[in-house]
Amino acid sequence: MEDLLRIENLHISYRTMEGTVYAVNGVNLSVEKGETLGLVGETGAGKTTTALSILNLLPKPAASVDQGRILFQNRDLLAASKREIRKIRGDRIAMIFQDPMTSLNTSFRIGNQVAEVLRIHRKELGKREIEERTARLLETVGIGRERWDDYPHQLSGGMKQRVMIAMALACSPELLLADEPTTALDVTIQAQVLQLMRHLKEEFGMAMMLITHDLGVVAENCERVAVLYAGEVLETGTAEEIFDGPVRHPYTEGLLGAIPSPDHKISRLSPVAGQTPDPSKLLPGCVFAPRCPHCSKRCLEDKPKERQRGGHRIKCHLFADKAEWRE
Amino acid sequence: MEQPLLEVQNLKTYFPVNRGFLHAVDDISFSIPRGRTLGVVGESGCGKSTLGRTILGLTPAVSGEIRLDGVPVLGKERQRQPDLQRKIQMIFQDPYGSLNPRMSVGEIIADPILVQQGRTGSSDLERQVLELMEKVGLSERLFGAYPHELDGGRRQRVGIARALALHPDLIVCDEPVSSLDVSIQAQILNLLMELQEKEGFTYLFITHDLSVVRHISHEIVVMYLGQCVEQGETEEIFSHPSHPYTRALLDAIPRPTTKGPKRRPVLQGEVVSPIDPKPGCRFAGRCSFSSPECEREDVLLREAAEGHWVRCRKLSGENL
Repeated sequence: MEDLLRIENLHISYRTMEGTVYAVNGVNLSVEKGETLGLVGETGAGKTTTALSILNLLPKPAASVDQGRILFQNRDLLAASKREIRKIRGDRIAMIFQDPMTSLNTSFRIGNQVAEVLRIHRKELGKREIEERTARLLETVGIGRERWDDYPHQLSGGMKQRVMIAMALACSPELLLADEPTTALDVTIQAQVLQLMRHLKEEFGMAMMLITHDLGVVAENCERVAVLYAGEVLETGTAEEIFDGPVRHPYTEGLLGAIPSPDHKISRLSPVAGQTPDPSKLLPGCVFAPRCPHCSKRCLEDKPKERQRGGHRIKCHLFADKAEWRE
Repeated sequence: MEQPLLEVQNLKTYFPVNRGFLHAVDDISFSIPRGRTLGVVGESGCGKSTLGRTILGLTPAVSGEIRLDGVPVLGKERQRQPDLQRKIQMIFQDPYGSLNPRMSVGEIIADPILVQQGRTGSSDLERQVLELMEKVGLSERLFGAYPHELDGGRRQRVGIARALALHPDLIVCDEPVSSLDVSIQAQILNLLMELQEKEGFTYLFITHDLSVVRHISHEIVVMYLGQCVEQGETEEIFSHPSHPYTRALLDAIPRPTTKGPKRRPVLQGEVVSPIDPKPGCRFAGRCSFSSPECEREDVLLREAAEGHWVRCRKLSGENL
């Protein structure tokens, strides 16, 4: 199947007072039409930086894309002009941000904020039609059209996130980038929002990149998963391969061992030891080696190449000698 | 039976607001034996943090009783016991906002000791601080470091060392791991559990995360809109969750596996206002089992099994 979005060898760094910070170091990713890709990783893994770079939203001039291509339907977004990107952003690729409390403009009515997207991207529509579509969008996300005139402070956190979703869906985008869309919400509200997103995805047939640190959210909502660590993709595979398969990257294993379960009691969690590496220094070997329980000399010196079995890709020396894992 | 370390009885904390009173904590009772952990779980706005703050004396209660080691500590009683501040300590949610950026790690941990005991010999103080740092897994070389030099996990360890500095009886932990990454969260949870086993600390552990609560607590109080809806031994509650809200909370947690039931029932609606709540069950509007009766009359906590209390009308007749 054709890739809707393909990221190739992406490198992004930030220039700061303390020196250069290498946030994304050679990321390869793809999202197919209509599928949901989960992007998981801890703070500082480069998840948000990757997503922002797709829509040319990185803070300039601090951030710079040093290498790589981002192909959206075979067109390189990094080479596109500001004008072209502005046409795509909000129309064919939309984004939902983590914090619904600050992502809405506090001094505009929510209906107008949703309608604005249509006014910008669907200039051919008349006033009546825009109003009608906006009202329908609000209803689709479970907010009655009678709330059109409300201001953001009159809504709860869950409802604000629904407004953000309505804005993102206004132009029926082909790709939705959802950056921690439910992290700020309570579990029961999170379940409502995720259910809504699944329904809408099926209805509109759009593809989604779901960025989160919550492995449970990924397992239940994504077809494929990419595990990001220190700016590198250490593992990609289907949700079954990542969560219920026989083999995993040691880092993925560590992440899974760190989550307490509501379904049974474990006496001690087995977290990954240590901390994430300093992003201002690039390591010569595997980025996970200093925390890895299977670390050997080779891991510290050589960067492992990505190996694959079917669609399951792992970047780890442990898989180097296994015949079924090919380069 | 041995006297519990902390007893809370019919505690009510209300806040006056324009339209009446906000019932943040509405008639909560529980006790924690020494060396055990009570988990208080609920969603934002259910009153769990206010409960912790009331026990610490940071927020005044409207009525009710709190006893530490059998001695009442609420209101005026509190001022008669200067030692009380030492006996109850707190670990805060935000490891960034809760440490003074102008103080070094050593100074932060030494501060409570200086406040309570005055200046003892400085070498002794330094020894005490280094011991505390070792206890929480902070390396000695961080003694002179400032909070901005540390990551979230290390900062939270500083917060824990500060709380331990005065050998408190009770430690109130308000969401101590919710701002941390999973692998760091697990390190901190393991540390808290090890400290309890070695030193016998008693925790009141406040969190929104049922998985964390199951992992760390011996007993649980589930709160909804200021009230306790279910209370009892952790294992009993997780094996027989009885209140529809507890079940909905458990169902709502996404599991890291593709093999579970994918489409579980989703709780509809949102939490109603805690300002002057109407009589009747506060969960009734979102409950799929509710009947007109539920919305009319208040519901009391009832003992569903030994030591397992549930606030639900349906339990009196037949089990759900």
